[in-house]
Amino acid sequence: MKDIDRARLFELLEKMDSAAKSQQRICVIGAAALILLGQPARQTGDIDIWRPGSKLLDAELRQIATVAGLAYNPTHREPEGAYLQIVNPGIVNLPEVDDDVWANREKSRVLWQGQNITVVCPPPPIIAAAKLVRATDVDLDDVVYLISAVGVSKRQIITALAKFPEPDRQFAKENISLVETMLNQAEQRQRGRDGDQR
Amino acid sequence: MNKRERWVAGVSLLRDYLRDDLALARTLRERRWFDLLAAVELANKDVDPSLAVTDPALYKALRDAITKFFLRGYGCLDARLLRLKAEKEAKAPHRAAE
Repeated sequence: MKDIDRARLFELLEKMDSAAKSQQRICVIGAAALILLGQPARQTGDIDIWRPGSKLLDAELRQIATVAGLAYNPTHREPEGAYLQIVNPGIVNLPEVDDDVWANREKSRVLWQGQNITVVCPPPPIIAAAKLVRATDVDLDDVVYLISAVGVSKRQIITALAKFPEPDRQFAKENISLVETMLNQAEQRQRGRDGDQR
Repeated sequence: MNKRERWVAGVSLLRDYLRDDLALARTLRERRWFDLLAAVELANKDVDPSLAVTDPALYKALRDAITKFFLRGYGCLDARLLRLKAEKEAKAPHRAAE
């Protein structure tokens, strides 16, 4: 069930922030990150939190998730309603992050700031590179958005890719040709200027 | 692909996209560069206004699809780069998936 849209996500974060007593940094990945980055009409059923990029107090997070009406790390296969999912390296892999700085030397991007809760996401080039690991239709739709609206460039994606662990790096490299036909706005303007000068 | 075939391919893909948000992403995943190029060329030069009189439904569908195309970011697809890809694929189709 995908019932969290942008408005609902803000509402959930506000509820969680009101209930929080300590400072926590939540690093969201997946659809929640894309929604907060502004992708239109995007919805999700869960909020994926990347533990290595977060500063979490698990007991409190569980509590505030419950207050907001979210299940916390559900173990049953088809949880009812929206939920928070803590994601550790394993099935999903991302480059190393040390405090707030990622292996491509970019900092996490702040997406939402409350009194106690700060929501961040990995640098957009890392999100785009991660999307190329699986490269499903939805992933590619996200990459298009990241390039056109967020301004990620192919060069940044390639730099980010080099920081991914194997075998994900190899999978994503095989799909890099899928973004070779895309230009972000700055690249399009440059192309226009180059064309004018000819 | 001649001009007529490009028009048909572009119209077909854009009409699909109007119904299915992931039609363009799927075409990209399947590396159907000629089809993407046809849609991008049609979106960039917009629909011939005379179509509004000869086939109003198609005119409206294409205008709606093109609006969606740009609103959802597909304006980042570059016609020149797509043409290069498509031509490269046509010359060496067995390498298309690389």
